[in-house]
Amino acid sequence: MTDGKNSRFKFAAVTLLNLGTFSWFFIFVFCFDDISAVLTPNTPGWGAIVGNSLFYGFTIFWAIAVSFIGGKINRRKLLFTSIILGIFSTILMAFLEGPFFASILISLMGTSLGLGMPSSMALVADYTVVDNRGRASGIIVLGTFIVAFASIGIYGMLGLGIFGLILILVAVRLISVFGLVSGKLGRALTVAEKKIRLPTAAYREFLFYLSPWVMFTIASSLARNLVTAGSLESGVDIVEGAYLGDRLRYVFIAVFGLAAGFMADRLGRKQPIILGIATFGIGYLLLGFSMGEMAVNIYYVLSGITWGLFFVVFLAVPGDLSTPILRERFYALGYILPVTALFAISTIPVENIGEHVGAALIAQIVGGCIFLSMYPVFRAKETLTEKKMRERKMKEYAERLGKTIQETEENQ
Amino acid sequence: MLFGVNVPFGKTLAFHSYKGGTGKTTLITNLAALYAMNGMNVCLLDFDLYAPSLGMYFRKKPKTYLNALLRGDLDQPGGNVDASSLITEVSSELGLKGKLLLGFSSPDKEDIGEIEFQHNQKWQLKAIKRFQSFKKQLFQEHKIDCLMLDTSPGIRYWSINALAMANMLFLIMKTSDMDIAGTKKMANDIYDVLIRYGKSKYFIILNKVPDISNSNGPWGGLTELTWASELQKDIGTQVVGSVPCCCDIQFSKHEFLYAIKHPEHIFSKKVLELSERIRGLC
Repeated sequence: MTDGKNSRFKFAAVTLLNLGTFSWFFIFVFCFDDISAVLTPNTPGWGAIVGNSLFYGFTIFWAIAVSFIGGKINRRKLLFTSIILGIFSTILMAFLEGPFFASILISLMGTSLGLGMPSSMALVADYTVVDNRGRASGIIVLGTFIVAFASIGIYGMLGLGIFGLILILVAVRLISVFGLVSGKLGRALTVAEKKIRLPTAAYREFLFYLSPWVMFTIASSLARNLVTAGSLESGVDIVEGAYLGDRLRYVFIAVFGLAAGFMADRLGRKQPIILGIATFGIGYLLLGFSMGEMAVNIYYVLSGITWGLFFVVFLAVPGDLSTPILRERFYALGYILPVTALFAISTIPVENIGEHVGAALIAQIVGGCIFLSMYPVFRAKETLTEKKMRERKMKEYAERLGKTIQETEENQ
Repeated sequence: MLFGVNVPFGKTLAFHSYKGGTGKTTLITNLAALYAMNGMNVCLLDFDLYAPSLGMYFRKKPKTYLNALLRGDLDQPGGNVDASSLITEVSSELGLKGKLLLGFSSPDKEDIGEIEFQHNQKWQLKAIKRFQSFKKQLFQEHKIDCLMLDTSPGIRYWSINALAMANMLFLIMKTSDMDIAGTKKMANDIYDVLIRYGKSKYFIILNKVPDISNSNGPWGGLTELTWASELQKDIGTQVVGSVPCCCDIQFSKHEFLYAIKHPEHIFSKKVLELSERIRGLC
């Protein structure tokens, strides 16, 4: 990002590659009910159980598989395979239906995502350095949410139907192809890069960082069920009442995603994580002490802030801590697994979760645990070192000083 | 006679290095003395505010230090500064044809501490303005041809400030790997930014070059010239000269203006060569 035009061009290409992959994922998840209804018109409920299990199961399986072979195979070929597979299976949705074909198509889509995501994210780390990785991640997250929700908006408002949705999904996936081809991304690792050893301490640091991320994904997936249980307990449809907060959340994810990037590069990775977990913890405690429409609306907005912060910081941290050959593993286990697990768990209908204990009490306990998950982060070493922060500060100072002196000289 | 008599030079040259111990002060004092010996009016200021050494080199203790100027102690109405007590002229005692004016920074612990911890950018900018006013006086009232700044090594507030106030930047480096990597980073981070805002260019000076006569020695099979051209390519700027590492100077009790006192010495010859090249760049 800073080393001349070539790096900026590569970064733009990596952004497009990831933006296409992430947006495709979000659009697909958001419209999954519509897709499964069209694919299996005579089998209601197929999508919720079988479809979701296949999609997330295949995504997780392939992401883990790639995490062990990612650094050893040609990333470019792997990414092409995954994108073409995604486009191919998306197009086939227009021609095939029934549970059998739906299972195959959904599995292929999960495979496409699982194969492509770790390497796409590994390339973000490859083409950035520690002091601009946060901003790069922030731009990717902002771009993803703009593309994904503009697409969903177009699909919903124009009532495009399944063919329109397929066209949108294919177009979004083609953004990745454009990024991959134009940037000539995904070179093979050099022998020297393959030989870089990762100190054992880096794994420990990574686990420290993962603690709030994992807690957040568990609590987030639980929240939907708690709100539903809260609705049942109070007899008020809180889910419907919190519609505004639910939509606003996405705006907050995008905005705070961008802000998190700047924060992560300026103040380090730990501050946005601590801010995120504190914000989320407050939101959760609010649910625990007043499970009403207002509280749920506020919770959604606060969780949106945390989503934005975490999406970005946890896109940067695995890159900071991993060596080139281990990037896929760090991203698959530290990012893709928690996120897809979150989406998978939140689709499981557990409406009677609060029957015995009470949704509010569960929210209070989980809220407390969220705050506790902050502790390992305090123990973790900052991946953006003091030295890097200082260098950046000095560079900015030189920029400001140069400008001021030039202006003064011109005025004289 | 090196140059035409008093050809207007009119530039501020900053000498900088990635780390300490590159022999910056020795080189710059010798260069300044050579210019003055050949009729130019030169002012040399110790902008190594974090670790001043010029005072010790010339064994002088002035009434006023540069720190007072930067702090605003010498401010006068109308945005002027009274810097008469700041400058020490040594040309007559050294028998130089032109003027050699010196400005020292304070070795006092408290003054260094103030510079070290004063990170308020408003304060820094005010100090720079004061210095610019002083610089104008130097060129107009003292009729100097060239202002030379001995800066702090590395990337610190006052090394950046000194670089930003100069017209040309000279980067002095030794030949170790670490020096090259650090210098490259510094060039990317700081010099390129300053150049974008009007500094003409920066150049490299190789100092303390080991075993200069042995082309198969420390250069890994390359000649010194090839090595310098590789370095130029690597860092992206011109190497204007190289000065050998001379043990007799390095380990002398107090090296003092060798270039004018021992003109036949290899060190003096190389510094002379360098001074001509720098003059050619201006």
